[in-house]
Amino acid sequence: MSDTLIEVSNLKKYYTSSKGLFKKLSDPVKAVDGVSFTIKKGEVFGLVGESGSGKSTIGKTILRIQDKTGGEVKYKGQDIFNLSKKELRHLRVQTQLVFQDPFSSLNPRIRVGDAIGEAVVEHGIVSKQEVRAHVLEVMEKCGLSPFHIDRYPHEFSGGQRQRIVIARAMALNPEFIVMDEPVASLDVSIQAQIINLFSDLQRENGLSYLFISHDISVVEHLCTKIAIMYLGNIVELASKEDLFNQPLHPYTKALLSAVPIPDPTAKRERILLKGDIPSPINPPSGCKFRSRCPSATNLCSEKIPEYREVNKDHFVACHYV
Amino acid sequence: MSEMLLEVNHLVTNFHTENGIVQAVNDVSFSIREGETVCIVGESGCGKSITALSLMQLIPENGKVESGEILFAGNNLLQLTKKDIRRLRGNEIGMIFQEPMTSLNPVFTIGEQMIEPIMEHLFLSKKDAYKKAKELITMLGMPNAEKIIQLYPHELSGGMLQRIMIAIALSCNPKLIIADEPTTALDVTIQAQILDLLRDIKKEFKTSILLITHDLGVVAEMADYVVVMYAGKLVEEGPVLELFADPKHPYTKGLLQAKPVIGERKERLYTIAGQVPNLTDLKDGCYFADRCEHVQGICRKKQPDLTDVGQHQKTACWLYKEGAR
Repeated sequence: MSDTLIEVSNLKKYYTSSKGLFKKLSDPVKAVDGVSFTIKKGEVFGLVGESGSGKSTIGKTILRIQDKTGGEVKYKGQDIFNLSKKELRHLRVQTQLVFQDPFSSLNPRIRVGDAIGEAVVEHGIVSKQEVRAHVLEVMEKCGLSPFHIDRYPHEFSGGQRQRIVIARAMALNPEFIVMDEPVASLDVSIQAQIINLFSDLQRENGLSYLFISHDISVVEHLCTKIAIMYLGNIVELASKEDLFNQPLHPYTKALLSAVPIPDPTAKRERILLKGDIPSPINPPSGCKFRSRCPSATNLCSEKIPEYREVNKDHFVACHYV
Repeated sequence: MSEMLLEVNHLVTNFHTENGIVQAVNDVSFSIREGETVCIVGESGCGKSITALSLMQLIPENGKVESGEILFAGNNLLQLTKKDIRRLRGNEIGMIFQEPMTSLNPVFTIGEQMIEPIMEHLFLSKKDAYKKAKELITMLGMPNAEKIIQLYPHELSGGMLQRIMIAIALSCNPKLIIADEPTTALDVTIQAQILDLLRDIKKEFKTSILLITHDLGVVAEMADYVVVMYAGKLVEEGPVLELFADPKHPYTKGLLQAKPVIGERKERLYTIAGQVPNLTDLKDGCYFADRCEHVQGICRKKQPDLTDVGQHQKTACWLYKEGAR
């Protein structure tokens, strides 16, 4: 298909660490363990999961910020792990990344305008004379005032810093942005401002996002397609409507029911999961979710459930769906 | 109605910094009854945590409770000696902090950290304290207590550590538990477990809970009574049902509308323009005026007092003052 932007197939990323004097290799942490999905042009793809489920690892690996262990990532049909230096440089312009913590993603000694403009000059997006005008234009789009251009990051609040980081990403006119928990550290009222900014930028520029978040209500608001992750695997993937109207995987159901609703009169049928998320070094055999699943059986411990399409564009990995 | 356990009257806590005086808690009054859960809501920097720390008199050195009263079971905590306060912390009031990972000392085992306060506060022998610690761990839904007691904090997950923190807070059967963002650092499914646990504790021991959170979802689930703070001021308070059904203050309304909710599909989120004001440089008048949609002349001149709106609800806003329009 021509409108496919990113195609991830069976992506794996294991981390190993060496221990002790003789550098004995430890068992690998299977952060991402065989994940497949596609992101179409103009799509906002949400990746939801609890800590340690491998969301951020996917975000970093599909931009080739770090190497993969196995599988394939194609950007516009090209394998990104098989690019020449020149092609990779081009990829770096088209794809951008926004991190969670706006306090550590800006260099405190670089003025805001320089931080936004540096890559623009480096990649020759506009000529040197036009940079300042370009930066000002991008800043305005992202809700920053012109006088902010010569200030240092410490003079800004968290919400404004996040705007600066977004402006820095937008300045290169990218096609695809990975947002790694971009609103997690912001207050509710500021969070709403930034989320609206995301929607505006996306609509005006026809951008595609991979939106990583643990907050399922934010994902529901922004995303068109949502994948739920658990311990390195996607357990369910569907359009927003299907996922919320008809969640199929027991983990998705539990996750949806666990989110507190700001309405004291709301009736809750909460599915309380027992226990903690197991360690990704030593996950349960078979289905990784079985140790916390309310309806697990013997089959679940013996066989890894197949990740399959149960309805059109609705993928689930569970034996009993 | 049950008895009043804690009454905070006109509490003022200031911090003396290089940039001037920061009024972190500015004339805040509220009360907690026995067996009641009161939630303080607000965004970062609005004084929620400092209010809680003021109650325990644990505020950092450059801060000071300037005036007001904190009546706990009839005694003014601000007049107690250091020694009496020490007795009170733990025995009468337990506290749970946001970061279970950093609240425990990494070089002592869970057991050592649980047993010490039990021996210190309940005057039990080491053997009895050990037994009590084991009981508490089991009670909070953690299997094989014997093993957990020997572990170090880094060997437990965040959810488990928070359970340990709750166990320590509960160990001396306090009348009041102050929980400062107890689930913010935890995952949703773990948060659901911890909130459930707190509800059980409240039901079983009739403990009062002062819960501090920024998450309105958590408030709706846990609170009997809600206090909304903004820039050190109490801007609205009321029973949870009334407050959520009919929020009065523009800030409370804004907070409720700005949060995306599952199942509610909106095109755009409501936003509160601007940001929380700098607490060293507050203007006269209502602190929310610069961000408020309904701002009028008087808002910039004079600060509104808390006024009764509805049966038990109070708000500090000129919109609800007779004759102020």
